[in-house]
Amino acid sequence: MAQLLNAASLRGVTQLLIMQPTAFCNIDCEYCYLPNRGDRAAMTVETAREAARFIFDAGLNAPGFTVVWHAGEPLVVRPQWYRLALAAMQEVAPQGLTLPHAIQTNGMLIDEEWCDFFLETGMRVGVSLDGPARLHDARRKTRSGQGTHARVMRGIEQLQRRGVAFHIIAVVGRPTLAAADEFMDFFQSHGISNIGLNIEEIEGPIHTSTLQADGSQQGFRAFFARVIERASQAVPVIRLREREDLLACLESPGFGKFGYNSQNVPFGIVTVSVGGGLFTFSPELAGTRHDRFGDFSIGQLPGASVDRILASPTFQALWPEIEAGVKRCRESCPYFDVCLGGAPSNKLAENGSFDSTETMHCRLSHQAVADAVLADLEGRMPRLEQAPAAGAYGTAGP
Amino acid sequence: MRRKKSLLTIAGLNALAAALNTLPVQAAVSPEQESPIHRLHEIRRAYVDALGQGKQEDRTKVAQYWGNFPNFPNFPNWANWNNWLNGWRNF
Repeated sequence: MAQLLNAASLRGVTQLLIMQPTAFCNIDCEYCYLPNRGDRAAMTVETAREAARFIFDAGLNAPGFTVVWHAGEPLVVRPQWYRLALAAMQEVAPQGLTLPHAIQTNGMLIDEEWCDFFLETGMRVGVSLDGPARLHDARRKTRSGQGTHARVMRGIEQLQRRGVAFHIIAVVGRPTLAAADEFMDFFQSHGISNIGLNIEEIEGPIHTSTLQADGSQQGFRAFFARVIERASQAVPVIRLREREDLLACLESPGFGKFGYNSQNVPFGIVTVSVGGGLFTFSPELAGTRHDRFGDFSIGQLPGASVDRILASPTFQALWPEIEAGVKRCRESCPYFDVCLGGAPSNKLAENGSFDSTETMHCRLSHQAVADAVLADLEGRMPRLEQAPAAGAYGTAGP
Repeated sequence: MRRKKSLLTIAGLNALAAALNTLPVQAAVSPEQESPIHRLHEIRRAYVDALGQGKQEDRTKVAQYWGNFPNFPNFPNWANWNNWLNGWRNF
């Protein structure tokens, strides 16, 4: 039976506020799901303020609540604008809360001025980089079809030279699966030690993936097992988001009791588009269109309220179907406790309905990852019985 | 005559059962059942025990460190979930 859903029941539920400062992107990756990448409109500072006000007035912010600038190339908008936007958002934050910000960039525009800004604001930086040039340039291209690797690496070297901490998100497609060692050699040789892996997904307007090819599931399992092995052998150790995430899941006192993840619980993630449109559930839904759900927008800033959103036709259409899909996952999938019901955007894109279960995204990003991490952990247990923690994933700091 | 036929049937069933018993035991176990996910709770218990005994890395430090990298979009950030999911557990 569904829990009574009202503004009070949602207090403290939002972990991420994803802000789209512009939909424009200066490059044209083949697998990108974002629409309107040629639209140069930029968010107003007032919209940024209203987004923060919406979250804080409703008390939606969870402990660890973070603002992430993404969805388009966020460095297209200059640091001066961010200084104003960050100040405006901080003004409406609860007293004593310093609002943490993160940014996910393609790295092409990183320069001294950006490094100054990152160091000044403490903004956490993620760079999209698919590994060595051979793999990266095959899909991540300029609008004229040129590779972007060399320029991204210049940006990364700049971050490293200035001491700006950053992580990498690498998209893994079919060609990467046979190149685990080349992939890890590259990151290790460039001193990159924080990596997250996103599979090449079927999402929004992207209807195919190189990972749909026969044998990809086995290939991904072998790839990921090797990546874990290499990461643990690296000096300094390479931290994999997927492994860290699963270990945190196992360590959680609430393990086995959770019913939803941040993508399928209402307002777990809130996305604000460049024009002030409000979205929830999977952020990838923002800006795409669907026959039954329109543009997935649940409200508009300024002036939106949680209670009005909960009563809106779009939310009323989305939530029961998403909830039904989570329920079906819970009843049928042995991986539920480590995944918590999957990603609505992948379910819709792959299965045609939120009220569905397994997707390619599940099979690779959750099932294959969980099996590889658990097998690795299981293999370490006898050794752990004999010796205190040392070596792989030891206590050495960053 | 009827009794003889019945005995033959029983013998046939016994032979079938004996033949089935000679099949490898693995044939009755789905390969999927051997996947680590089916030992999730045992692996977790062993892992958490090892943590408690100081035989694993100091996860608090790791969590603090990793907390600096909230990746978009598929990073549920379990560390924070304990605080807010009380009202959202398996309803």
